[in-house]
Amino acid sequence: MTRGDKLLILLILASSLLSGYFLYFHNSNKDASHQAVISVSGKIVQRVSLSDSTPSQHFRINGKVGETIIAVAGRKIRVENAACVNQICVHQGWIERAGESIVCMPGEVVISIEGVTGVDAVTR
Amino acid sequence: MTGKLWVFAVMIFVIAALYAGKGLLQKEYSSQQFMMDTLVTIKVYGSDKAKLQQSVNEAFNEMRRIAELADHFPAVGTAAYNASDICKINQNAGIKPVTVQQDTVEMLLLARKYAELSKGAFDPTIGAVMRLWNFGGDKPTPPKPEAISQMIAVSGFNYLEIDQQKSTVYLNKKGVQLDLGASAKGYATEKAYQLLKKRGIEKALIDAGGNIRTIGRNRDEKPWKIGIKDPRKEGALIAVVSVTDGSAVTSGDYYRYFEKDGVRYHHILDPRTGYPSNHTISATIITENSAVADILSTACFVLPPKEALAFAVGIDGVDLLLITSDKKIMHTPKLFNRISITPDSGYRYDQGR
Repeated sequence: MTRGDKLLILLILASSLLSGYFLYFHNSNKDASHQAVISVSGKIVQRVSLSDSTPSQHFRINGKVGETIIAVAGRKIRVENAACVNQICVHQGWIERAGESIVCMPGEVVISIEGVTGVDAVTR
Repeated sequence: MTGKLWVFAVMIFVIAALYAGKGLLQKEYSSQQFMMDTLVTIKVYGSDKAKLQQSVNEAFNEMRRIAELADHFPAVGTAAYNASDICKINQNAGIKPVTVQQDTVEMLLLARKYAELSKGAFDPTIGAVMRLWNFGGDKPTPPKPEAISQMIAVSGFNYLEIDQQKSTVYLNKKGVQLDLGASAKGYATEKAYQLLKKRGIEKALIDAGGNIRTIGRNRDEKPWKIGIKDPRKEGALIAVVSVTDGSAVTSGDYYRYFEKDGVRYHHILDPRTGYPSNHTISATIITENSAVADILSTACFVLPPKEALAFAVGIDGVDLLLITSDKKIMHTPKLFNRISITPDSGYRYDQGR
């Protein structure tokens, strides 16, 4: 085996490792865990993981027009109370599937569930 | 092994590595902003992060500019009021023509074109009736029939005069009011799309509160998969449609409504009667231009289902999916190849319609 051959073997090893690394990362990006992301005016303020073992809980978020009370129960999340006038976010009730979201326009509060949805976007 | 074979083997591996790495080299930049009474998300893909970020910011600015021109809500005398062409036109109804921005002229020309084509099932001059219903307000209540008749008398696209040369718009009867609630968001989305294209973005998705506009193909180099919301079940999809370089816009009866004495009154009014239209619960338009999609989704929601389908078939490059109030899914024939309907969704699906 010449020196050139050894160099080529090294190159091949390096490129296959590289491709394996890229493939691994590309796929793992798609596999985001099932969690709710809560943001106010575009900034993330809290993340809650949603699973069957998630304990029931309430917490408060300060939105643009006042306090929003969010309830979590297992895989589900909802707005229980909000300071906005129209209460659309409260009426929407529980959400639990990846890709679902609750948007409180006046408070600029968004709760969205991350995870694999099978679609790029939803028209509604 | 001969030298040539080695070179060949190395080339194969390098190509494989580059191909596998392509997804990673393609960066995603995503940003959200509240505007036009909804949440707008813009996602772009490319290799230069700074350019992606800059383009998205400019696209948001473009949308905001259109939103300000078309806003008909602000109170007289405020900065928002002075920035709005629609407010100025409304204030001068029956008084005089108003000089407006080129985008306002284009928005109104498009709106009038489809108002004529749909014979008034969509109408941008429905402002007075919409104001009477007060859907966004505190404790809305159904108006009295006499009040609705009065406002219907000052609605109609025939009252809308547009002078393209002079860039002026005139509502030629006192009391007539423009309301671009069913078209401005689509127009703004289309302007954002045009800006991203101009900046060389080849892959993007704009989601303006469910009004979807796409550029190119998705991250996996396949057509974008756009879900159509089940109008009666939270989080469920009724169908998935493939879209490349196009728009999908839905008008539904489920987001803005109020209930009074057990009756549900939603916000999509039939401009010819002044009452919520009830043949259909969801109408989705799939076509290239987002401004057209926005207008036509409203027109097709208002028209009776069979008329709506015939109307959509008659316009080049336009597809329609309807869910009727008796829970039937209907769509234009051309959609058949690029749609998958969710099985067992509880709706009746007449294939090929």
